[in-house]
This record gives sequence, structure tokens and C-alpha cells, in this order.
Amino acid sequence: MPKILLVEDNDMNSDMLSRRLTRKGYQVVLATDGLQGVTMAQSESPDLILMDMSLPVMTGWDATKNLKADPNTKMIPVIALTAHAMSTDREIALQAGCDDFDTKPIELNRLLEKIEGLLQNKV
Amino acid sequence: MATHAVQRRRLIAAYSILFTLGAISFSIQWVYAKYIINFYRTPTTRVAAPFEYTSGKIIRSARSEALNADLEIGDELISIDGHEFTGDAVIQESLSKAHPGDLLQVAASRPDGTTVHANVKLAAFRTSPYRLQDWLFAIVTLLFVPAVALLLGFGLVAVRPRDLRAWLVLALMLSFSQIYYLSGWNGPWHAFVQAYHTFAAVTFSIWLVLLGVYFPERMHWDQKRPWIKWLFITPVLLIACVASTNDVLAQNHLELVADWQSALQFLQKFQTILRLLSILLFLFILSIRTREPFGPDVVRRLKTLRRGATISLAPLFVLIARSLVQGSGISGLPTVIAIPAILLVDLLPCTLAYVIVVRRAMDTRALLRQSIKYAFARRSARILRFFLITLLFVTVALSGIPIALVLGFASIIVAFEITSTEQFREWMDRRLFGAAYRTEQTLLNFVNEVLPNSSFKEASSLFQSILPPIEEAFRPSHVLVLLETELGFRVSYPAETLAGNFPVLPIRSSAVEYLVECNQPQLVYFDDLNSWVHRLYREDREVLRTLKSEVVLPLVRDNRLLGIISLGSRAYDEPYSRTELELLHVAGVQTSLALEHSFLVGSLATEITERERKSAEKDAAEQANKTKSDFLARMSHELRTPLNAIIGYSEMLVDQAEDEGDEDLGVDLKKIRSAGKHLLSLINSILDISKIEAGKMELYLETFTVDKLISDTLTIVQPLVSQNQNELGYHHNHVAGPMVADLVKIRQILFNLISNASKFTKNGTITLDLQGEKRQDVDWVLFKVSDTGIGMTPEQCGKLFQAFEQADSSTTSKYGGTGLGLAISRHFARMMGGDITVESEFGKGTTFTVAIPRMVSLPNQVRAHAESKTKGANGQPLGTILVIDDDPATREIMQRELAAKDVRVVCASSGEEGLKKAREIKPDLITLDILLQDMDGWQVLSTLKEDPVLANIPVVILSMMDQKSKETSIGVSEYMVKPADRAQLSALVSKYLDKPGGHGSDSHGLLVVDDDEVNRSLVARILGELGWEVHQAGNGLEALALLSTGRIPELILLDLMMPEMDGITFLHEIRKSPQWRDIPVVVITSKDLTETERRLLNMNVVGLLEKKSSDLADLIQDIVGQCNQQDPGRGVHA
Repeated sequence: MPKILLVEDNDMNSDMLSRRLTRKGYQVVLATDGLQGVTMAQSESPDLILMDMSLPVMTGWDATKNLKADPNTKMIPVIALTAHAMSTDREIALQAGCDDFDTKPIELNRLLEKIEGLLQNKV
Repeated sequence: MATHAVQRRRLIAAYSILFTLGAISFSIQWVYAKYIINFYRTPTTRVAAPFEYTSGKIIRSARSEALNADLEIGDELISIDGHEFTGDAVIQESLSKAHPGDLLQVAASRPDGTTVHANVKLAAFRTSPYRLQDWLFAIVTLLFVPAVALLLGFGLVAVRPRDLRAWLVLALMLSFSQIYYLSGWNGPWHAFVQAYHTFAAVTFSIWLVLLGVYFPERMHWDQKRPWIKWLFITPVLLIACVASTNDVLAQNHLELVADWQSALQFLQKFQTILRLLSILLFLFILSIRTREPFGPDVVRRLKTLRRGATISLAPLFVLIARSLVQGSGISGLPTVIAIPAILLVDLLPCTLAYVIVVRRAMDTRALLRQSIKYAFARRSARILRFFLITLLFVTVALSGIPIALVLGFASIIVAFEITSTEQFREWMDRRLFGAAYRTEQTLLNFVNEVLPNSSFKEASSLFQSILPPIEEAFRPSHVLVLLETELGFRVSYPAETLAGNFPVLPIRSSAVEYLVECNQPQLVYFDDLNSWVHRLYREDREVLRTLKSEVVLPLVRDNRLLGIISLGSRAYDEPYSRTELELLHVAGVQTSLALEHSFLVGSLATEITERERKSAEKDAAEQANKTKSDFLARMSHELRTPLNAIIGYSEMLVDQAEDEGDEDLGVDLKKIRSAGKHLLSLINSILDISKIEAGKMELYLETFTVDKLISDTLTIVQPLVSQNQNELGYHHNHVAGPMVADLVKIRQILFNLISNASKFTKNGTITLDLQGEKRQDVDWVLFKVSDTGIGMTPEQCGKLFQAFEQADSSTTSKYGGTGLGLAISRHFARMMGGDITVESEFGKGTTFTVAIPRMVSLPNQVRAHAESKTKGANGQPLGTILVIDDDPATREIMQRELAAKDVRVVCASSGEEGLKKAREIKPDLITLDILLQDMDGWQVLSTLKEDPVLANIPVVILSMMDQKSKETSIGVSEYMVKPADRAQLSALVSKYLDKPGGHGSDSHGLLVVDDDEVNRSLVARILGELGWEVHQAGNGLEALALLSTGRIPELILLDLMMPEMDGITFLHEIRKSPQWRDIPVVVITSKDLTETERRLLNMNVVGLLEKKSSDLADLIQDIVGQCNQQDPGRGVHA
């Protein structure tokens, strides 16, 4: 069962997405800020990370850069979840090292396709 | 017409009478003059009459030769030379043919009855020739005075043939010409001339009195009792008739008049008394009439006449009185007294002519002062010299040739010439003619210093500084300034007159028209019927009359009257002289320039304030709009977060319900989800619009295939289309293939259009049609979305793309929607360089066409493109050139040519774009086309030069000149503004040249080229005074002609605006020739430089090139090279 780390500060979004992913057969661990996300990525070693970009303590951008700088975590694919379809957000996410991105509100089927694709590449 | 014909007939009659009279009097005068000259030339060969006789033929006195021949006093003459003695003619016949020594046979009877036959040996008239003063005296009295009188009299009538007073003056002058008479005259036509003389001389009194009665208008008492004057005229006329008849009869019929000789003598005396009386009467009438209520001009005329008449008639009066008492003529007086007295008498005809002919009479005192002032001003030394020489000649003439006196005078003149230096002369001018000197100096100073050196920002300060010098110079009773207002020209300065109730001169009035046309100071003389004032409409004339103007100075610029300066009359009614009017004209030109300047500054200030206000308003509005957009963006974000939860949870629940097979719950949950999604799309639209308005919407270009785009879109819209039972058709027409654009935005556009179409169509067809097109070498993709829906009217179509508008406000209630979709779509399309258009027919359907370039480029792509292209061979471009030209061909050529020469080229197709890019890239050189579409090239140039960052960038102007010119510079060394002043010119010239003549014999001085003669000669005079040899030319062609004679000047002072060949063309011409190329040129321009000239001169234009030149690129490269050499620091900009 692939383990997904969901870094999201909004409780409702976090709860909703985690439950829907769980229903689709993923193990989901939750972090509520960027710093926690980085530590949990190291401790939990998830198969994939869903990273919100606007996070307290440490932004998703900084968190992703840290993750990609750490040799232990740099192979973990990161999907950035951006608030809206602003090209700047996407560019920032990709520059930080995210492997893919998706925009909120989440369209589950599309997100699942991206998750599946990344997980298969990793294998 | 009839009166016109009558008038013409009268005029012809008047001129015929004038001509006849003239012929008679001038021929008499001619015969008379010839006789007099002969008389004075031959005193020693002509015989003297040996005796005098009474009218009873009895010898009254006898010379020695008659007494020697046994004739005695008291003998009665019987015959002479065998002819019976009947009168004067007999003896004169014999004497005129005789020579000294001839014998005259005289038969006479003694009182005792015996008859004597005597042979009288005739003696010479004089033993020695006449002296010079005798000649002088004769010429003045007998020739000069009559000639002046006749010429003035006839001239006056010729000028004023309809004026009765002129005819009176002529009659008076005819009399006046006969006042002096050579007694013993026995020339040809003796009887007739004698009678003419007598009649004319006697009637003098009549004309004088009549003139007094009729000048300037008929007297009141004469109108009431016209017979009074006949009391005087009749006896004089009678006497004249009797006296002239007597003269005729005495020739051959002496016995007929013998009996009333004593009566005649009494009449002669009476006539002389009447003549004296007439002089007194005339002066008396004149002094009465000066007190009558005439206008000032008439009073001035009367006063002038009274003064002139008094001065001239006083000596005449004395002479006549003396002749009455002593019974002799004026010949008894010493010549020194007689000649000036006679010359003074000539003042009468002059004064008469003056008061009748002149347009405006002057006060005599003013007349004298002014004639001295302006004849002598600045020429006192010359006048003094003239005076000394005249005195010398007069002395010589009157008193023979006393050598000592002549030498004395000559030495004084020589000494004066040697000692009088320039400074001395100036000092004398100042001392002797201070007033005139000061007036001129004040005006000159005003024109040359005050006006050009002041910048007047408003009209009031301008007039505050110009009115005092004018007042000081002329001391007029008032100086008023009339400026244009809405109503017309009204008195605006000085300030205290504003309250006064002055009339207004309408803008469209005859006076304004006239003043614009003449553009010269004009005298306002109401008394002169020929004056321009009388050609004006009466209302305009009345305005001038109310203003009491004596001179009006129009301030004209570009055929438009800006204002009028009105000057009142001066002290002593002194008129404005021509010199003063000329100076006033120059002052007027300067003032109108300054006035226009002040108007411009004023309107500029208003405009700036207006702009500032507008820009502040705009800023505020923009700020408000931005705040609104920010607020909307934030709000949308805040709204979306809970909405995400709603949609997310409802989707989750839908999944769950499906899994659990709870269909009823699933349907309800789907409604929640769909409502949430709708709300989200609305919020997204608002977010988009606010981003667009805040200018934050950006393009994200990616490469994709059109197929992918369409298939994605169709998948999304399919459920929407089927909602209203519509069918979706798709035609691709082989447009598939890669495309570079903002995928998301195109998808959104298509989604918007198709969802709109399906909203307004029921049971119809919606078609997405794809086409490719090539427009101006660019590939375009056209997406056409057509429906068979309700369609729109043209009015609805017009409002379609405005934000928050739907085709009809009622649509909202029926179909829902924010009305933002189309506005957003169009904006997206335009961001990508495309557009959306609509065609619709009400009730039939609508077609939206989205046109997007296949390869969308970002707005700053041009720069990137240019940068990629301009790497030099060594990777380092020589410099950056900005080409501003609206002609694509020129841009293309410049790109290609210059890029090949390792120069980085950036192009701009309009002035505005050019300015923007200039600020962005700060090029090393700018080439500028003068004829641009959006703004004038000069405007671009001046904007460039106003920007401190860009001001130093050299600009090459590309213009459509015809002549081929390789010059990279028009080579103007310097320029100065008219009017040139001495110090400025001196400094300027000495900057370029050594002392005059410093170049030895090959020096050819300076060349002044200017079409304005006044300015040219002013400059030439100043330079001449500085010691330069100055040549002048009126235009470029003349100057070229002068140069081609081989005289190469050391410096050319050049005006730009000239006829035939202007200054700029001239410069181009001389720069072509190697021998003329190095002559320094200083441009002298008037203050009203044209925009073009000012810019050409001011703006560091390094070149003016011909567009068609084949080696343009080489030239520009040269210029860039030069620029880089001069300033290595700014070679390349990163």
C-alpha cells in the first residue's frame, strides 16, 4: 500500500483529501506545516508527497527545496498543490523541484492519474 | 452718376484755367527774367535815358549829356529821332537800339515858343559792371521770390483743385510775384507786362483780405453781411483798373492820361495805404479766428498761419510804409538788411501752402523744435560744419573776397574737423539735442535690451515693463493697451483704466482688419479726409475718437491681431516723426512676440494644471480600481476555500453513496456538487476580471497540438451541450499541428463560447469549426463557434464584450450567468495577439470567431529577438541602434544592413514605441524618421531631449531629402537670437576670429546673409563699427553668388528663414564645397524660430541624412564609431 504524505494546513481540505485517498487504497500521513512536512518525510519515508504551497512556518516552496537537497528524501516525488492556476505559482513550484503540480480545487480523478504515473515511474 | 460727371467737368475746367493762367504768368516771368539778366549783364554797353519827363511831356530832370546838348528843364518834347513823341514807347524804341556815344535827335519847344533841335550824345547806363551783391539782390527780389510764389501757388491748386482757398492763395501768389518790380523796365510786351504787373500788385490787398475771410471757413459776419468786404474790395479793384489802363495808355497816348496824373498819384498813395491796411486786417482777422471754436487741428493751422504771416508780412509792411513816406522803393536799403527781409517775406507763401496742404498741422513751436531735433539729431557736427561753410560763402558774396576772413573761416573748419572725435560728436549730440537723443536712446535701449532680454510669463508684467519706456520716450497724454477679450479689443492696461468706461473695438471690425493688413504704427488724423481713419466704419472711427488716439500700434503675429497700443497726443501737439514711428514699429514687433510668448506660457500653465488635475484624478481612479481588484481577488480566494470543501466533500459523498448503492442520496449530493461548481466558476470569472483590471493577468505559453486542445475541450463541454438537447459538430479542416499559446486560456475561451452557445440554444446544433489562415506572413488559427440559437440584434452585439453586460439585462434572469465570460475571453484572445469577433442574426443564430496566432509571442519578445540576432563576430556588438521608422521596408533594410556590421539593432514602428524602447535599452544612437504615423518626428526628438537620461543620445534624422548629401553635420558653429546687439556680436565674432585685418591682405571680412534689410544693415553697421569689412546678401542664392566670386569670408552670419534659398539649404550647399566647407557659420535667428529650426539647432542633431542614400548604413556606422570614440564608457549597454 503506497504511503502518501499530505502536507496541508487547512484542516478541512486535509481531512477531505486524506479520506478520499484512503478510500482509494492509499496510506495517508498528515503534516500541517512545511517544517513538519520535511521532518515527516525523513521519518516516515513516504512514497509520494502532496505539498500545498502556502504553508505556515515553512512554505511549500522552501520545504520542497529542502527535501530535494537532502539525498535521503530527494527521490520522493512531490506534487505541488497550487491555489489557483497562476503561471507564477506553477513556475515557482517546478523551480523548487516539484515533479508535478495540480490546482485546487482538487479534481480527484486527475490527481489520482498524476499520483499513479509518478509512483509507476519510481518503481 | 450725373454729379460725378459734373464734378469731372468742373475738375477739367479748373485744370484748364490753371493751365492757362500758368502759361501766361510763367511766360511773362520768363521774358522778365531774361530781360533782368540782360539788364544786369550790360550796364556799360546800354545807354541811360538822358532825361525824365512828366506826363505833360515836359522835361522834369536831365543828365549832363542832355544839358550839354542845349536842352533845358521845362522844355516840352515834340519828337525823338524824327518820330512824334506820343509816349514812353517812342523814346524807348530809340534807346533800346542805341549804344553809348550814339546821337539822339530831340526836338523840343521852349516855354517861350522857340523850337530847339538838339543832338544828345548818349552816355552809358553805368561806367562799371554791377557788383556781386547787386546781382544777388536782383536775383533774390526779382527772380527767386516770384518763382517761389508762383510754384507754390500753382502747385497748391494742382494738388487741391476743388479747394476755393487754394485758388485764393494762387491769386495772392500771382500778386505776390509782382511785389518787386524793376523800375524803368522797357523789355518786350512792355505795355502788357506793365499793366499785368500793376494790376497784380494792386490786387494783393484784395486776395489777402479774402483769404482772411475764407480761411479756414467763411466768417460768420461775412455770411450775414457779405457786402462789408466789398467796401474794401471795390476801391482797390477800381484803382487797379485805372492804374493798369494808365500804364497801357502812357505808352503811346501820353496826352490822354496827362490830365489825371495828379489824381492818379493820389490814388497810388491811397492804394499803398489800403495795402498796409489789408495786412493789418488780415493779421487781425487771423487772431480773431484763433479764438473761434474750431477743432485743435484748425486752431493749430490758424496759429501757424498767424505766426508765419506776422513774421513775413512785418518786413513787407515796413518796406511799404517806408516807400510811402520816402517815395522810393526798397533799393535804398543796405543789401545785408534787404535780402534777409525779402527772404523772410517768402515765408508767407510757404506758410500758406503748409496750412492748406498738410494732413495734420503742427504747432509752429513743435514744428521748429522737431525740425531742429531730427534734422540735427546725431548730426550736429555735420550741421555745424555746413553752417560755417555757408557763412563763409555769404561773407565772400556780400563783401567781396577778404582773404583774411576766408582763411580764418577755413582754418576754423579744418581745426574743427581735426579736433572733433567720435566721442566729441556724441557729446555734442547729447548736449545740444538731448531730448531727441534721449528719445531715440530710450527706444533703442527698449528695443535692443529690455525686450529681448526679458522673458515675460504673463501679459501684465510685460506691459508693466514696456509702457514706462514708451511713456518716457514720447510723453503722450496716454498710453493704452487694448487686448482681445470675448467681446472684442478693450482697454486692459494700465490697470487703473480698467474701471474707465472705454468703448470696445469688435474683433471683426474694419479697424482690426486694416491694422492686421498694414502691421505698422498708424497715425490717427481725423482732420485729414484722406486718412485711413475715414475708410473705417463710423463706429470704429468713433472708438478711436473716444480713445483720443493719435497713434495706434498694432501687435500682430501670424496675421492675427493680439492687441493694440494706443498713444495719445504729445505735449505742444508735437507729431510723431517718421523715425519714431519706425522705432515704434520695431518695438511693436518685439512686443507682439513677447505678448504671444506670454500667452503661450499662460495657456501652457493652464494646460499643465489641467493635466496635473487629470493625472491626479486618473491616479485616484486607478488606485480605487486597484483596491477594488485586490479586494475582489482576496475575497474570491476566501470564498474558494470553503467552496473547495463543499465540492470536495460532496464529491466524496457521491463516491461513497455510489459505493453503497444509495441512489437517492447520490442524486441530491450531485446537485450540491454541481451548485458548488457553478458558484466556483462564477467566482473564478470575477477573479479573472479583477486580475485583468489590476493588470496581473499573465500569459503562460506552452507548445501543444491543436488536436489535444480540441479533444480536451470537447470532453469537458460535451455534458453542457447535451443539457439542452443540442448536438455538437466539429470540423477541423486540417489545422492540426503544433501551436504555441496559453493552452489554459484558449481552453477557457472555447469553454466559455460553447457553454454560452448551449445556454442560448435548444434542440439545435453547436459547431466548432477550425480553420487555418495566413495574414501578413503570420499563421493564424481560427476557432469558429456557431449555434442555431436565439441570435442577437446589432445593438446587442455592440455591448457584448463589455464586462458585466449581457445582450439584454432580461437575459440574466432567464439564462443566468455573470456576463463576464465574453469580456474575459476577448481579453485573453487579445493578450495572445488575437481577437474575438461576432456575427449574429436575431432568431437565426450566432457565430463567434476566435483568431489566435499559431505562434503567440510575448510582448517583450522583440527585444529578445533583437538580442539574439545582434551578437557580433567576436560576440560583442559595436553598439546599439534604435531605429524609429514607420516604414517596414526601411526598418528591414536597417536591420539587415546594420546587423551585418555587428551593430545591435532594435526597431520601433511608432514614435511612442520608439520612446518606450529608448527608455528601456538606452541605445548608443537613434535614427529617427521625421514623418511618423502617430506623432511628428520632431515631437519624438524633443521628448527624447527633454529626458535627462536620453538627452545625450545622438540622433540621426532620416528625412526624405532629395539632394544627395554626404554630410554628417550641418556644421553650425553657434547661433544667436535677433535682434543682434553690439556687445553680443562683438563677443561672438571675436570668439571665432582675430582682430579685423589680422589675416593680412587675403582677408575678406564677414558675410551677413539675411533677408530682413533692417536687421542685416544693423548687424553690418555694428560689425562695420568694430572695424570689419562686411558683405551683405539677401538670401542663400545671393550669398552663394558672392562666395563664388572667390571672396571667402572669415565668418558667415546666417539667417535661417529667407526667400529663394533658406539658411539650411545654404548650409548644405556650402558644406559640399571643399573651399567653403571650413567657413565658420553663426546662425542669427529671430526669436520666433520655427519648431523645426529650433530643434535642428538645439538638439544635438549630429546629422541630417538622406533616406535614399545607398550607403546609409556606412554613414551610421561612422557616426556610431565617432560616438564611441568620444565616449568609450558608453560603448555597449548590457
